[in-house]
Amino acid sequence: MADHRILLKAFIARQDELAAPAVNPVDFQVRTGVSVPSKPDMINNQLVVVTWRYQVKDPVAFKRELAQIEQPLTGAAFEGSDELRNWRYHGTFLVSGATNQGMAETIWSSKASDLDKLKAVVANGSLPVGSFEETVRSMVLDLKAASVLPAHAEFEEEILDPAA
Amino acid sequence: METTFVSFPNVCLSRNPEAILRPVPEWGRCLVYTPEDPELFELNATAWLALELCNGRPFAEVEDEFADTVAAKMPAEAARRDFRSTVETLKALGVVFETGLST
Repeated sequence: MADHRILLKAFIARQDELAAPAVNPVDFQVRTGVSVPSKPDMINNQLVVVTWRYQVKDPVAFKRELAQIEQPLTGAAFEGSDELRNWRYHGTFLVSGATNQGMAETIWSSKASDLDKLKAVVANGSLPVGSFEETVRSMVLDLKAASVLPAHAEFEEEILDPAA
Repeated sequence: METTFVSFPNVCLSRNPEAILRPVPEWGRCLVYTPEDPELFELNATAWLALELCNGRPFAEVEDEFADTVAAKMPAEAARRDFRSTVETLKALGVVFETGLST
């Protein structure tokens, strides 16, 4: 018998109560290439950070699909967009901690003066959009499909404004 | 007289040799990395036990050993239900796979 089985049987025998089996994704993700700006940079460039928070249906499936969903928005993709030139996509993360089970956050930054532009792009029909804006809109719809929100609902939004 | 029918999947259960395990015994946890679909998972002791028992033996034999091990802590029916659901999860993640029973 393998050592781990002996060890596990002893461990389980010592427990007062045995937890049901649990297999959870590790809430640890690495994003490369882009970092959230520092507070001095945010102040100097009039930037704000916008965080969308939402509950996902299935964290394991969500993590598996995420790379596909956000792939079009990595790197300098925003450079090609007139409307979203000042926007940066910083990533989507599962929130750690037992009380946040299944919660995800998507983080953007933008010029404070452009705060409404992303909303306008993702709100169907409110802004004439080019192919890149369509990509952003499509990604947001994919995120909503993976969340427990109705497709038309907004994510809970938090805005970090260093000048406030 | 009441009759209960219990069906066993006619397969053997094995751990995917490509899955990398990092036991953390002091926490009663095991980390599993799946390089084919790069993801990291944490198994609690009960799920880790289910995985460790999947060593190429028939499903029924592995399930029996799991249920026997947790018998003092968990009703047999719940243990078997939990075992099956854990195996399904581990299969979906590519950590465990099934092979046919040899005759």
